Amino acid sequence: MRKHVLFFVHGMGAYVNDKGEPDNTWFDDAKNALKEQYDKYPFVKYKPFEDTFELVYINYDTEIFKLVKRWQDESEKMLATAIPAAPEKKLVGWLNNAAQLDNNFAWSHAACVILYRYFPLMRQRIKIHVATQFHKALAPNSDGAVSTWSVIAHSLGTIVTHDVLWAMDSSTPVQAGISVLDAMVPSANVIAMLANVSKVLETDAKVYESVVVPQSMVQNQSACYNYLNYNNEFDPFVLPAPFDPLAPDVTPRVREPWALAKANGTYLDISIRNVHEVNVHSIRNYLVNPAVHIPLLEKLVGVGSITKREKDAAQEQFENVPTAKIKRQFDKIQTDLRQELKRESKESVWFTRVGKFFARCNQVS
Amino acid sequence: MPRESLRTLAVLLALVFAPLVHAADAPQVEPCDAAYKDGIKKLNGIGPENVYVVLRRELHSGCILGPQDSTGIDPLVKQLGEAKSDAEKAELRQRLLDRVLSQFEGLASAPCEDDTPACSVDRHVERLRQLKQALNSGSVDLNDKLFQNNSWNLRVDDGVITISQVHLRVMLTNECAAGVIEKQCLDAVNVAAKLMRNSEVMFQLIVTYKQPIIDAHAQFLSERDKEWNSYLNDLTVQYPWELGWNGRLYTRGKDKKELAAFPRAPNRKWILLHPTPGFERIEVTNGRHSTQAAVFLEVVGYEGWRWRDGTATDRWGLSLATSFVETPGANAVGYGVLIRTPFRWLKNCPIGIMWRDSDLGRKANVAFTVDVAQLITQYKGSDLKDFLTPRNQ
Repeated sequence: MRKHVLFFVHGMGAYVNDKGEPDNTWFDDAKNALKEQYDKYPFVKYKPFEDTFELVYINYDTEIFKLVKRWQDESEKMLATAIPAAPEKKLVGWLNNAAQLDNNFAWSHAACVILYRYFPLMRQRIKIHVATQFHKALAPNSDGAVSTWSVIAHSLGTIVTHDVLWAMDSSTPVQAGISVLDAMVPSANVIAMLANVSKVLETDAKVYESVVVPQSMVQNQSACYNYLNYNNEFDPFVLPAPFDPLAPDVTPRVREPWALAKANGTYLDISIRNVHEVNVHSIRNYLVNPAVHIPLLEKLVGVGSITKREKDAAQEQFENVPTAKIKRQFDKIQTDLRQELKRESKESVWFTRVGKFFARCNQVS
Repeated sequence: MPRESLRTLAVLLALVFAPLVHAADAPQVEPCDAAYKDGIKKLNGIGPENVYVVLRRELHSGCILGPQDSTGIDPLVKQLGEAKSDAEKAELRQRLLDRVLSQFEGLASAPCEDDTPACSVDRHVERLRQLKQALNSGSVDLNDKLFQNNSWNLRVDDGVITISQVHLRVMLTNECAAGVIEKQCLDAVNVAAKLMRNSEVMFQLIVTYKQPIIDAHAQFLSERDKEWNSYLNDLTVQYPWELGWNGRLYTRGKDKKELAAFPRAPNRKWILLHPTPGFERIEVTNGRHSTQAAVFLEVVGYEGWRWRDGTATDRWGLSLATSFVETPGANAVGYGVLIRTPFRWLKNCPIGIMWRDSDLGRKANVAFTVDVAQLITQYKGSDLKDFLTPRNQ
């Protein structure tokens, strides 16, 4: 029989090696960060992490890399032609470091967001590429069908996950009229969105009104039983338009089902404010916080797997800012970016903000 | 021996051996009784609210469809997964359902709505019988609740089985309130283990019905994946401005719902301000030609094709282009057309004619481009600059 299939979906940044193959560094760190918390609680760890989960890494950066590498190759070769004066070279000269992976925020971070958000053809490519990875992992194999699965998505991965699961749970490509997901698996047990930017980056499918919602909202149609939304108040990525279907400006028709899901515990909206790394956006900075990992583990393993005493102790021992050095570094970034870190819904400002934030993180670390 | 006597003998033999053949299908002791007690010993501080978690971890790796499961159900599920013919599958499904139903024989059962073991068993068995009836009738409606995946699977977090409205966590918490090793609790654990096992098995059973659909979906996604991969990675590269423009045209007039699903890749594209290195065959003196390195700019063009098994076929395209060449006695800039053809060996390499004014008058020159991406693969290791530079320079 199959284990609980747990997907990890990466965010913005470089997740390939220089050959364009998936680089597992982020995945390894993310699963280790979760396992570290998993092993803290006796009832949870009684069944070892490895026996509980079949971990699957979803990587779509390979597709982004292929495209920017082609641009870079074309540009380099154009620049290498024997005609130095050719005016056409000016058109493509700016593309000649597109696939460089180190210290290249514009291409390694901003480009993937821009390509996904503003280039519908690239978005379709990423969606189908990710969907085939999901399908391959979820289709029955010699060990049987997958009866339990969950997703932990980070940053840009939150909107990618949303869009792909929406498509998989809505598309009925064969006559039977059963969606791609409904044919092979039940709804996902948990969809955990860490640093949830799905609202600010939403495109064709609207995130508050889609099928990627807790089960109680669209009976037998929704893609998950539990939707966990996590944001760090200091995370500049989620500032412009935090995922908040309960906000007053959301129409009552849309807001009420989410309010009901929140009341019955299938929608958790958790806001944290810890700084364990200068890069507060990192998945580890989220998972280390008991406010994040306790509800996540309970949903993944079962309610009652962490006792009240353990929960209280974990919260009590947790420090939002554990060392003076990190506090100093982070305060400096906050001071430097005071203007940019103000809540601002313009997307252009958002790109400037995240760019400057990453640049400062690199400087201080 | 007369035929009648043979038939009688066969019937007698069947009656004698039938109990042996189906001995494995007889109800057995619940293997989770021992596993649960063992778990309680190993873990300290277990309260009624933790009993569900203790039992649930047995699923797939312990006494529930794991190595310690002695009910014989797991091998049947595996056989069903491996069965090839419809007749074999039908027979295994029947055996599986019989075996599952036999697990509940002798358990207390009562028609009621609450979360006690007796009520839960009654509701669940009733649903199992409905499923068996639907299978026997031969009219399987995969959209019916009985055949939906969400109906039978066990929700990990709170132990709910939707089809029978069984709440295992609530049931175990209530029944174990007096103590986690009291008889009432152990009886509830016994029932919960069976319900957990059987909901998982029924889920596996109904998914086998959907295997042809799952295969068709895999085929669908694979074709779409090939098309999009080909569109962005095999066809001539699109620069950002081309990708943006073609994306705009692609979404225009399309329904948001269609775009949010898995639409087909485009079967045409515009070419805009697309620079490409290439060569131009230029007449340098009367009658003498030389192949000169050139940089073409496809100012505007259009290309179309058909998708066949995820591959673009019948590609045709035309673009208006300029050509930049540095050669004595001729204008640096020429004008002309480039054509994309469906010929395999010219896959991403358009050819065409460029008109250029020179000391010899206006001449029409043959032009051909080289798709750089392909060139890199083909000539990996060689100096591209040398390759693109004519020998006489």
